Amino acid sequence: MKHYKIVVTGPFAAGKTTFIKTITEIAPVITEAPTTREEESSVKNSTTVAMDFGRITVDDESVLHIFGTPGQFRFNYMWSILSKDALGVVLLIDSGDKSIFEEAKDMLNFFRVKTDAPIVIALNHFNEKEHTTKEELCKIMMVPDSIPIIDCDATNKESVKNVLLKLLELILENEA
Amino acid sequence: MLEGSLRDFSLDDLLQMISLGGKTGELHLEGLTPFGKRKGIIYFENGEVKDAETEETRGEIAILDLLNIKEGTFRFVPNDTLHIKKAISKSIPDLVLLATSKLDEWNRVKSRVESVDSVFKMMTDDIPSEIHLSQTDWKVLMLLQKGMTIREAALKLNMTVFDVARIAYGLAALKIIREVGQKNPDTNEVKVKAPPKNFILRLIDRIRRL
Repeated sequence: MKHYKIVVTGPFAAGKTTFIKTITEIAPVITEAPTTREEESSVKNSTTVAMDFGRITVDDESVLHIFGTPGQFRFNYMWSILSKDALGVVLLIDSGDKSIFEEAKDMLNFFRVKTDAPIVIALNHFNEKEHTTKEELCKIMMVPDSIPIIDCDATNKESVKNVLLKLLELILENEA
Repeated sequence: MLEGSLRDFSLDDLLQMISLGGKTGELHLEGLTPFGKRKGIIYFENGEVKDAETEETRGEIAILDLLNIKEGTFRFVPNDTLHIKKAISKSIPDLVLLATSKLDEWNRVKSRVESVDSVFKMMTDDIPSEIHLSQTDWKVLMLLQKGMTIREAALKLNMTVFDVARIAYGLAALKIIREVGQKNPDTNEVKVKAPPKNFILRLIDRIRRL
């Protein structure tokens, strides 16, 4: 059985664990711990500390593993470990939280330097928030043309599928 | 004469013994380094390094290469080295430290340049609007974009594979080149690094059906 890997990354509370839960065919393996920092616990009660893990079986010969990284920069050693030999990277960003765009830009640069794998940015729309558009985000983060930005709802299976399909198209284009 | 395997007697132990014993002679080394196979001689006089040579280089470059041999064999021949001119002035601990830092840097370089037999493709999508390359960087880039490996480019430019790999790392980090595979030095056959296209197509089909 051959294993391939896609990495889902993004700043704290971007919806990475939800993204994986939505698409995985197995019960996701989640490594969450209670948030201890005040600025984090006000947003959510727990955070990924090592990785999230989901799986999509393609056929008898091959399987896709989906790894979710921790969001905080202090866990960036896991970003390096998880991105090694990845087919591609999904950078998930909460479209309603402008305060994390700078951090997301740093993460984008980190992964662009660490890996040659294609990257797509998925702009996750949480409800009841003022959303940033793809065009605005592109400007703020100075995203190069080669990295597509797609709107996404991490709780919606069709939307998550759409992000993964865009990434796979990009992988195919890259190898052409 | 003292000879054996570096598995039984590490190079560090060997150097310490020669240094503390104030030995004079030739230390013949042969084995594998992260940069490929190496064979060479380190010349000692009264426990101090005088010079070193490999099949391709001499002096400090040669000894730094030889000190990175982790698996291989050694042979110490007590011999007069008066005919050897002193070309290395650094102490053994300084040389070991330099070789170790070179190895550390190689481990960083390896995140983008997997092997000295890596081949690259020039990219045009993401090149920053303004880049500054030195003359040497340009020479390396020109050879790599023609399909030469790190090893082949190093040989052509009379540089060490490490220095070429370091430049390739920088070019890859700037997204000017991308590693696409590895060439078998014996057959010249390139093994492409890309995931099988079939798998991606099957995966696309599978996700659509989810």
